[in-house]
Amino acid sequence: MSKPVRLFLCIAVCFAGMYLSGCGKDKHPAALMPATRTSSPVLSASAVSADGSVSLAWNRNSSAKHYNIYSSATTSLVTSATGSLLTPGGISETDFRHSGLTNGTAYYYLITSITDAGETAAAPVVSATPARAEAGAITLSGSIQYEDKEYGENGFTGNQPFKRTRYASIELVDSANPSVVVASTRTDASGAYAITTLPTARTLYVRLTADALLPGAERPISVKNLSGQEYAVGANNFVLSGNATANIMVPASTFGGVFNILDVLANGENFVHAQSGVYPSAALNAFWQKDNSTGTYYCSGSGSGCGSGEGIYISNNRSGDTDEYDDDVLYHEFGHFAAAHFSFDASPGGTHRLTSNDLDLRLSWSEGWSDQMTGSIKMWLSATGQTDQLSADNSIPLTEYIDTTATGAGIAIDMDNPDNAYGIDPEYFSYASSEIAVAKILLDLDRVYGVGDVWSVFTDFQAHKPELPSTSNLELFWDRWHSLGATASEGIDSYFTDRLIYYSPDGMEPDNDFASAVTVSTEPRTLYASGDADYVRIDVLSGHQYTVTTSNMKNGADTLLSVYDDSLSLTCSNDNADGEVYSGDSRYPSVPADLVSSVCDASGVCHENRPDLLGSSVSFTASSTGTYYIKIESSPHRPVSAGRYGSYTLTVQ
Amino acid sequence: MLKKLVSILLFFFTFAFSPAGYAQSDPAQKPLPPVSIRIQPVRPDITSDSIQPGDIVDLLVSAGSAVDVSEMKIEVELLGGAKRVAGATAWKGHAGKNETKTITLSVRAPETGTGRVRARVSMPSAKGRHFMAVTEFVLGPAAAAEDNGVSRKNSKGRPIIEYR
Repeated sequence: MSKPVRLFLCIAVCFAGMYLSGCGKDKHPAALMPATRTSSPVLSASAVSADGSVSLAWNRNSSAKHYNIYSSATTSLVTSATGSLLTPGGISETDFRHSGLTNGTAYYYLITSITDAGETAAAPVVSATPARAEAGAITLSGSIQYEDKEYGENGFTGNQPFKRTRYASIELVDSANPSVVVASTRTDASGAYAITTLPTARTLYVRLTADALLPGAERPISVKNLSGQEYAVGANNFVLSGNATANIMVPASTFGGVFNILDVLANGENFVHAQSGVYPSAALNAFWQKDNSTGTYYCSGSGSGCGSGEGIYISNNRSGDTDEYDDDVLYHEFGHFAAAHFSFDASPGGTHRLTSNDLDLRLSWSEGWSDQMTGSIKMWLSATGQTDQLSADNSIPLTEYIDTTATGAGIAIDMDNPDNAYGIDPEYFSYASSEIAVAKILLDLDRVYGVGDVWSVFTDFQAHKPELPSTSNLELFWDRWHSLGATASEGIDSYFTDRLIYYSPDGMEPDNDFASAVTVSTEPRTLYASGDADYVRIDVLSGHQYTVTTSNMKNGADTLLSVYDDSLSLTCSNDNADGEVYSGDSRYPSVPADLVSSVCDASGVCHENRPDLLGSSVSFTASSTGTYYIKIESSPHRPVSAGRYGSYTLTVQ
Repeated sequence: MLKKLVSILLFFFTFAFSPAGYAQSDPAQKPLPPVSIRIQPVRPDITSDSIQPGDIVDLLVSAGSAVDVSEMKIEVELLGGAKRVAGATAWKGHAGKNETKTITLSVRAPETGTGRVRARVSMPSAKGRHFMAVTEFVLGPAAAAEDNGVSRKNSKGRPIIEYR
């Protein structure tokens, strides 16, 4: 079956069941509107009822040589095979009156265009029921759809079904004066709309705007260009002289992506509402512009990159990366919007790679949260019977994150199963400083304890904002999970240790004072719980030099190393072996290491928790033979990118 | 001392003027794969805009990985009438963590239309899923963006850009 035939059959089937009942109200025949413009951004058609006739109009297709019209009075699944051809030889106009009809009978119409490529559907199927005109209100109704793009682990699959456009703004506009709006409404959850108004001799058109307001929400979701204008598409002209149907389909080749963005973000807001009982109190703006590479990121409204204000900026860089159809990317950025409005997020933002396992703990938390949101939202859609809202190939896991490029999938990773999927050492997906590790833990907790428990801790960050130096990171999530008594606090350790995150006392405990100091061991140690100090004793010889070092810093550890002689007097101490100062006053740690260019690489990724960065080292000469003591604790001068916990290795030479 | 002072001043401006909740200084960008690639003219004075039809341009394709990769692939595609004059269009092999691999090639811009050079770096895996990065270099000035949208206000007075 040829592609054009498949296309118009698909469209015809998609519109099955659409019909309009009711009576025409106008005694005067509807005027036939000549088409005056070339290729339009939407496929649209209208059918207006009158006494014994129906007037059709549709948008011009610039490549059409002529149009065919097929009609059926028995089925809404009208095709070129099942319908009666009303226009033998075709017509060049974009309007047509079908006369000699039976009042009270619904007629369905398929309009096709004949191009060099063959016969293709030129417009959505429309229908009308002729009736004698009566005084009073008439109804204009219809259905709005956009063309979606299915994706898989190798990029877009080529399957592009049309989907309903939900909760979007619909206006009935005077075509002679487009600033005059006759009536307005919104599409419902099925993408349908209805407007009741008085008949008019004016030429009108239906305008669809990328502005969705979910039932019960106070603030809309909007898709705008970088100048802050909401995208709107206008359908064909018609005269609303009787009950009518006007349908719109937005192709992927024009602005289908805009309405995909709208639909995906609506899913995000519905997910948030399901967890918290409320919709976001702020409007959600998405900014997208053809051939513009701004994005893809969420901007809170402050800082660089927020030229159009708070919102999600979505790239349309046709030379490499376009994201308007990358649902997983959109859900990820929605995760940041949710964090900004339902939680507390102190992430410094910026560039990050999925394999970076030494990020600022605030960044790894924030990005891991958003990575997890992609899977959580899709799992929720599936669990609540909304699988039609999923655009991913249904053979891949719901937790798989895919970002397409011009030639396939740039990223395809199952956040719930990252290890060994790429021939990459699993350590790259480990530690609290890895966003994949954070995402994996959250997905594990979602699955075992339910999204509700995870969401409760997440929102508690906002209800009880942490005070510096405590901040938004995985440590805070761990602490709050336990303090809130979220379901079965015990037993979640395994999800953390699977990612090499040890928020637990190490095997040398108790060693929290001079009396309980232990001998030197090369086993990694942890700084846990808060206030933990590890005491180690070493036998020294008078006059000999010793060097004590903490290294192999993991999970955000930042040590302060102190050496005491055999009379327990402090001999020397060190915070950072490299001599750098990564924080200011201990009460107000600075935004750190991002300021220190040496920890950021050429691509802009900053490695604040590089294992060799925050370790300590002292060298001393023993003044007597005996036992010296080493104390290791979490540095009170640690940068806010580090953590209170973490692990290290101690060496004495 | 100066570094400390700068740190304190930057801290002040970041925390003093940022919203109480979301304290980011940079946008929350989408995740990137561990591989990256770029195309740049060998001569620093050459840009896309300066390239004329028929010009021969020497290009450097640089790709790298943030992780150790047993088999990294670089592939170069010529589009829109661009023609290879000299040099390689592919490379495959081991790449160490943070190591950069390069390809140099000469291409001729088409006499008509706009040629493009597309480069892709990938790291395939045994399970058929992988990370990849793609970039393009345009051999000529960018065409002016066409936009036939009309600025209006909707019924609520909000600015819209309407396409018909």
